[in-house]
Amino acid sequence: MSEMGQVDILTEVINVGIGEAAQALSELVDARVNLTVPYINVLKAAEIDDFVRQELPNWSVFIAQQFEGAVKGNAVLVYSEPCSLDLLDALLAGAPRTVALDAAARDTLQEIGNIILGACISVFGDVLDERLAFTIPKVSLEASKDFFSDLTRDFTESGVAIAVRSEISVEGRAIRGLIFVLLGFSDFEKVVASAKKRWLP
Amino acid sequence: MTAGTIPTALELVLTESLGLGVLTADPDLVVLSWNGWLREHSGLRESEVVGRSLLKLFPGMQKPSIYRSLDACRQSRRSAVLSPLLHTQLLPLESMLNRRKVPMRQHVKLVPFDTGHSQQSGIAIIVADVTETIEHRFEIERLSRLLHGLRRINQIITSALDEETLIEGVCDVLVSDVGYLGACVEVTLPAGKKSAQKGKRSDSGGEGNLPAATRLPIEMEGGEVGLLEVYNGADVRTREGDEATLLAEVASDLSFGLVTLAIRRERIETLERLAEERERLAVTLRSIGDAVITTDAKGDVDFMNEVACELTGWETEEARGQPLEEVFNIVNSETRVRCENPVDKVIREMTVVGLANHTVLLKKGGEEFPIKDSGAPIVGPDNELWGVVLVFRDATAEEEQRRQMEITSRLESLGTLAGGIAHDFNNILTGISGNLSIARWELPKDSEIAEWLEEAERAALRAKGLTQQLLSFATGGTPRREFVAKTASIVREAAKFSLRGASSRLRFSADENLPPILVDKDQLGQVVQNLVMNADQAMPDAGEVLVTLSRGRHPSDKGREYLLLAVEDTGIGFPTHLKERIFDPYYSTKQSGSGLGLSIVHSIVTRHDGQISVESEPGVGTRIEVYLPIWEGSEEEVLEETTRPQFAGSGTVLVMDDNRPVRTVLQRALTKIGFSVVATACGEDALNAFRNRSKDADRFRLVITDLTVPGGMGGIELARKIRENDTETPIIVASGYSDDDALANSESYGFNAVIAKPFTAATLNTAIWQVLGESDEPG
Repeated sequence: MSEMGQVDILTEVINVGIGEAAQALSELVDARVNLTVPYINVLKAAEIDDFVRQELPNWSVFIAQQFEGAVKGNAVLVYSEPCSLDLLDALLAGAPRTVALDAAARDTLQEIGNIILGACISVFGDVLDERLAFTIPKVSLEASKDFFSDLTRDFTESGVAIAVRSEISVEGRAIRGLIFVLLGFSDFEKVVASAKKRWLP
Repeated sequence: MTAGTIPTALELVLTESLGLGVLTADPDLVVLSWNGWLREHSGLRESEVVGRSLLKLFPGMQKPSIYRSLDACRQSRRSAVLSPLLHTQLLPLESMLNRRKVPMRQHVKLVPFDTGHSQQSGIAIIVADVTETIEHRFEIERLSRLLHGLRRINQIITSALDEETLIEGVCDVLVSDVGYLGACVEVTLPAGKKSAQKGKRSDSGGEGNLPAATRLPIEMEGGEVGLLEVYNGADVRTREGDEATLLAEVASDLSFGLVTLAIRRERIETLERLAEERERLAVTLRSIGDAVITTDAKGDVDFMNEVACELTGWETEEARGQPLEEVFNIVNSETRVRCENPVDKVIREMTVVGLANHTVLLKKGGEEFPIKDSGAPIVGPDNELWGVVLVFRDATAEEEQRRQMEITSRLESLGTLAGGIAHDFNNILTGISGNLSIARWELPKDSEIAEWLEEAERAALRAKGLTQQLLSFATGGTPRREFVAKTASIVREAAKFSLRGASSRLRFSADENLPPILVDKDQLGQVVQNLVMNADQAMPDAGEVLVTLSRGRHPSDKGREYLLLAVEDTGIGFPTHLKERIFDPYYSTKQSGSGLGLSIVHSIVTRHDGQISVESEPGVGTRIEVYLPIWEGSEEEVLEETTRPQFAGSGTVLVMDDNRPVRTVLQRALTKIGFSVVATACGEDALNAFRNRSKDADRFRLVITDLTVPGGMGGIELARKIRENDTETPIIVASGYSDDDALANSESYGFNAVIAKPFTAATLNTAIWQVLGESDEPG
């Protein structure tokens, strides 16, 4: 698969992106937002569904954003439904408590996903020194068993799924979420190589 | 595209026909277009907007969270969505909702587009009006929370144990669960004012023409007892529509909860009062000394107290529901015929009824008790018979007391007669024995006449013994009680003495550590002797007389402990119906004996505040029990037993006795001893004589007085008068009434010594020595 050095480099790249996401989210909600240092699992694309099912047996809110340009892939933000409601409550402090993930709630999750995932992935563009194009995230309240496989279909022959686990906490609330970055192996190496070139002497 | 560029037909369709706001800006965020929808909802014409800086026109877009998205869109070509929940007023647009203009909730998309001559993108801002959706969402959420709150409040109503918990819970739910800014409840209840508050409280002035808080009345029994106040700032929805209806329901539920609590409290208090009353009644019935049985209207047992259980031998649970006659089995003690069920009689006569005499209760197991009882109906408020209460008691002790009183009363009558005879007889004997003594002194000791006189004197003394016995038969004589700790030795000696020469054997036993008693030792000996001799005489073929000493309780006085002296024989015995006659004087079931023994015993025991009981069965034997009160106090002084020497007197003795022979004997005897004598026949004369010689030189050395003088001042009065001014001159009282209290407690009457008539010269001499003591030399 990849040597430890590559994972470390990618971890550092995504960590920068997570920092950007935290800053953006903090400005949005005018509250302190913490995102923990990401923990990265590099998986075969074929393993991704099983891994996610094992990791997230009860998680049901998926915010997926596609990006393309110098590299191509998908970023997915995953919460359980209670966690997503807690997140909304934290963001909408003072407003009536959110009791259901209706259209307005989904719009808000869409904006949040756009901020977090966009901040994460835009670092790839910075590292590659190329502009990446992003779709507006899609919010799904239910995901089929092939949800992740579908997202990695384009690069299954050499695909690598990079599962990035990071917890988000807003104003002391423990709101656990997971970020997955799904990237082809060649794109993965491209990002790492560019990062090496840019950051290492 | 630049400012002022005419839109193409397609652009026109896209911007003007979709019901969306479309605003375009160049990379420098200068407005390029402003469609009709935006104009319609903002009131701003295109000319007022196009060509101007977006950030200056709408300063809200300078907020970092929005500007970041705008910047990312133009710099990085990143699309963005802006949530209507997070950005409530991105553009100053208005929407119509419920016929009112309200700030528009906007769903905004930022989409980059290529301007053709810049690295940066232009931005299309597409605005959708989601006001109605969002407001409905809020409304649904608020009503959902309110419904949830109502459920919580109903749970609190069912679980709250007091008003404080209820109203605090309601306020807490309205603020914490429903989300109102504040809630307050104030009620005035019979128990006092109660209030609770949670969150903010409204300002007193309110906002505009509307009160700041929604106030809902809380009612109990048709009257307003307080208010529920809900504060939600300027939000008027708490006062109208569905939310107001639900809030009214909250107030109604709270009212219901308070009423429920009041009813529950009243019910609990009633139940507590009933339980307390029941407990008090049960305790009373348990504590009562009498047995109590209650029945229902049919006469079946409903309740029995412990005494009733003890007397009937039935347990309450066992007896409950049983017909009374099963449990309360009563018969006539003489005929053994079953008595009428008192409950039947009560139900028939509807009044309080008592039991007939000679009723005995047959306890389950065979025992039986004489009982006294009464039954009364238990009548409800409407005069309906609820049942019968039966109160009865074990009358064994009462029967025993009645029997004892009858015996005592009969013996007292006989004693009065015997005492009068004995007194006169004593006076006569005093004259005889006194003169015999004096006459014997005048003769040489070896004189034959002196021997005859001595014989005559002994006969007179025997006669004295007979009169003493006669007095004892009748009244027992007032005992001169003294502290006796070693009762066993006195009893054993007296018993042994009584059986000296008899064919029966004595078996004596006494418990260790017997309690002390206050007793006249002589009389105790007399009791023992009489009982033991009786027992011996009851066994013509001889046998064993069992004498025991122990602690015991008499059936008629079970609350007190006695020293129990029991004398038991295996003799001829006597039937039960004679039990009440055996204490009568001159009544005897035996061939031998005087028939006075048990009379004396009864009299003595009674005078000692004791009890006596007899059990006998023909052919089996008799057991007589004597119960003497235990002395709980300190040891009394024990009279010193001395052998008194012959006395040589000097000075003058004042004698008072209405009986001339007694006066003469006294005069002679005193003169013989060495005294001068002034003899008087009544108290008045004696007092005058005493007062006339009150000077030290010729004052009397001693006064000897009779106790009673018919129709005149007796010894008691004389002593009292003398003691008014003189406490030193000794006074000796002489009387044939040995049972008089003045003799038993002579010191308290002012007497220094007592001599019982008839007396001998030696007795007189000893008494004088006792009172004058060492002031005169013994002869």
